[in-house]
Amino acid sequence: MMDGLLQGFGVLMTFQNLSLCLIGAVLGTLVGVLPGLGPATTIALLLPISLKLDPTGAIILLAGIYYGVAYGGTITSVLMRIPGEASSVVTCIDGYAMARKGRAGAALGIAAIGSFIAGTFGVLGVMLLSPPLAELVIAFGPWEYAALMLAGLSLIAFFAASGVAKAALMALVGLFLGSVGLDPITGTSRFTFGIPALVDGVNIAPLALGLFGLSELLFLALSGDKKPEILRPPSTLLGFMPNRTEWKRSAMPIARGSVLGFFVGLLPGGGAVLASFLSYAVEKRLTKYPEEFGKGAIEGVAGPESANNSGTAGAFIPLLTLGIPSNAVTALLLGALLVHGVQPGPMILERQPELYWGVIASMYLGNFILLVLNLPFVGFFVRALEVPRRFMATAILLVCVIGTWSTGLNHFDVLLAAAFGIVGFLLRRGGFDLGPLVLAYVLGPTLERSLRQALLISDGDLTQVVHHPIALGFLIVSAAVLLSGLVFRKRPAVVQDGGS
Amino acid sequence: MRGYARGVGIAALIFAGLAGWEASRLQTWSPFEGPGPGLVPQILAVLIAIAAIGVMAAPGDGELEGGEASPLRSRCFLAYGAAMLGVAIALPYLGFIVTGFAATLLVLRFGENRPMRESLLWSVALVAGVTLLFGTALGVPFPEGAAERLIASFGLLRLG
Amino acid sequence: MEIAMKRRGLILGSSLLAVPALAQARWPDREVTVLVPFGAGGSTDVSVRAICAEAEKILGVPMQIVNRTGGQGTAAPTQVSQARPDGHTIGSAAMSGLAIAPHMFEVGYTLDSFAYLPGTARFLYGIGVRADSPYGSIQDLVNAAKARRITFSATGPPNNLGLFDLNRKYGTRFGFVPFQSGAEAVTAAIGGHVEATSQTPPEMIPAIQSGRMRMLASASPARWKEFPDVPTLREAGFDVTIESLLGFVAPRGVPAERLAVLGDAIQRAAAMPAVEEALGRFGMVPAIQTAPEFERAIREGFVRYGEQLREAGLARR
Repeated sequence: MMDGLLQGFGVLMTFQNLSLCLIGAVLGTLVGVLPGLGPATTIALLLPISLKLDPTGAIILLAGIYYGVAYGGTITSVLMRIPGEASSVVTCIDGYAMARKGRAGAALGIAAIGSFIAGTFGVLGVMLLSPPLAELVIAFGPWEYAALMLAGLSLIAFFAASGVAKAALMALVGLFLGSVGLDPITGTSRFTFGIPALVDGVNIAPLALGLFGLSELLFLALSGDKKPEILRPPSTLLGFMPNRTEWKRSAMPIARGSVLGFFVGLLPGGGAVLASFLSYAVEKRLTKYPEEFGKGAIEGVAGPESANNSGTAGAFIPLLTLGIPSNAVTALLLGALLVHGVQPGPMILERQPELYWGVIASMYLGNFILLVLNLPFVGFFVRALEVPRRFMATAILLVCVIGTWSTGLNHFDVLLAAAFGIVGFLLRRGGFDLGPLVLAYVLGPTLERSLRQALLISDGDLTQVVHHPIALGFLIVSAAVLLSGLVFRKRPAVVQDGGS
Repeated sequence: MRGYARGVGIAALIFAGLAGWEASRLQTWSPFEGPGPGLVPQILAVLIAIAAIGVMAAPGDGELEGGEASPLRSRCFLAYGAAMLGVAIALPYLGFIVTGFAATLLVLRFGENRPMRESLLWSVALVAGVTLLFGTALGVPFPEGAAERLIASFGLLRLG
Repeated sequence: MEIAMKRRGLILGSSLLAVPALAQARWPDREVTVLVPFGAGGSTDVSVRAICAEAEKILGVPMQIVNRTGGQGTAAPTQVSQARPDGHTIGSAAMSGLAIAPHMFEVGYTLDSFAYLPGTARFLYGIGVRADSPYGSIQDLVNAAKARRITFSATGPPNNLGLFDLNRKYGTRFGFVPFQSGAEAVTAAIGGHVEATSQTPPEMIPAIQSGRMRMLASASPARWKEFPDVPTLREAGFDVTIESLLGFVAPRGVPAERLAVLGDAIQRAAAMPAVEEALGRFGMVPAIQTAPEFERAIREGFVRYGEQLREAGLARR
């Protein structure tokens, strides 16, 4: 294990990879600050650039964005009560209240420190847990994979803020889009209508850039160009230090948030957003000062901010060892890996140790960079909000266009991206989450293949599933989740993950 | 919101119908001992129809994202939308540089009501920046157009 | 990097010196674009880059690699077949794109759309089972498959065609379960979800070396150098091999003297030790064929794979 980690740092210690780690973390923080421009959009935008890198460098860059965002979203939540990112929504409640009381520095400080501790804990967890889990998942055959993916999609539909019906519709449409192209087994064309660009399926670049990037552009156009109101961040580093009581009250929430976030992150459909909401609920229940919650309780910042960071790390385990993403952002990371010809799965440790350990080492370093970066440069990041919309939006447009073009070098993809931009805009307007759609689109081919593999192995006998207890367990979970989602309309509303 | 979401539901039903019709032409079960290419799409078409009916039954409430007013009334929105569609449609004929420049100019001058001078400056700067970053530095082959051919003849760009 | 630049400079220099002796302008006078049907970093891409890195030193002009992915590896050959036949656009070509894909789906070219350049390398295939499998030899496995259906994992053709050929010639019942990547196919065999696998060295060697898998036979014309004790299928008494070659093609109509210049450079490049090393990393071995030999191999492969795919029910109708 230590050897592996050393190897990882060895991989990281090239000028290229160190710079990528830094760029990823900074860009991620910036993206987290800017409302609207989510991690999914950014990763989609950088996908074409990352193609120019080797797979390890690409994933270091994209992963840097992913966890950088978890930090950046906090800043606007505390200073403006605008969550830069869905995983910082809860921080708006007590973080902004603290800022109004003149404790903005302490709120940002404890969030950064809690995030660092939790992020480090999460990385440790990924490092220690994924090798044994990778051993375990060799026991996962087609039945188990198919059932696990169904359970994951059901959980996502269940937790979606838009309600089960809307999320299920999006997920199903995503699965359908995933089936376009040559059938993976017989080579039959499906839904290609003689268009050569569709032979390999709907490409991920037009889909992601259209649904997230271009639809965001249309919302930006609609939003009006007004300057946001920002509370002032402290001007010196000392201003970020929490005082004694704040430290004492934060210690346990950080610890609880780290552990809770990590395990929630492991769940398909979990990830940073759910982790932060659960942590807030737990802290509110356990606190000695319930009356302060909503009025500036530091526990309400320390817990969720820790949880969303370790959740971000936890989500890497199913991604790397099973090749199964747990939210829209990790789905795009998986897409990036596949584009690079890397097939995540239990064998990744044996086959591409330099990639696996390089990513782990970059997560350590990334967490450190973020701690150093987050506090002194708060003022700088906040200034990014003052870039006028017209510059930002036109740049997004042109980068989306050339980005889409560059991944497939065909005009059809660009048209497709524009179409997805309009469809994405119309769907989001009606309160449909696009996260489940993209996730299902990425999972779709694997789900179909697993199902058909299972049927081939069993010679077409569906009842064989009873010989696979793990698969049966997942199927029962997904049935239970879907039914309860339909029966109990009121459930803890969790905001959509990624994308917007 | 309710009416709007129901509209999406109806659109999804139509989509399911078309998808199911196209999928029905694919083989459900191949003679080569197993599930064929049509099996999963056919199941999905049925499930999409069911979910669409579910959405119509429970469309949710609240305000439309981006405000209730029709976006088609906003000149700014129209300019951005036209720029986006225009680039996508004109790209094969005019290349990236010309269409990108025109789209940016359209948005700044008519969508955002900026002075012509600023609009021109930014359009040139942005197109040049994107071309140099993606085309020259990253080596992405650009869609062919008159401007691209000219720049490619200086060896600064590759054509795709 | 710097050394490579210098070396190129030297070679350029020496070829410039040679110009007066050659009297007329020599061809090629500018870069040659090589279209690769698969993504950067994959086995085909790395092998082609290694060969072209040597070939451009011989040609004295750069060879520009363009990864034209898409159409399951048919987009690049399509573009080659439509390129201007001046010899400045060529493509890498393997059995999969030329001899297999046209049987499975519609493509925009035929074997007559191309002028053939030399073949350079051969992919290796092997048949393996998980370490604690009851089948100790390829004979055991074949006998078992005569008695009942034995599932095996593989990616697409040609990986699975060896066992289909066994079904055809020896009455076995091997059942093909397709997996997307070689890694997944091997993992499924290790996990006991399928009983055997037919894959290539990059995925099988780590699994064999970590003691989770046993290799029963090489499905290629030769043994694998990592496992010299494991026989080929043919040596074990079964007249079956999977043949897949990597070579180069140009559009039909390129002048013969230009084909000769390119062919000579490619053939000499493929014999360099650096190329063998690069090929070895992806489980390939050098297999240098002249242009007519490569063309014949592809045309024979086209006919043979057509029959096999039709019998396996994988050919397009």
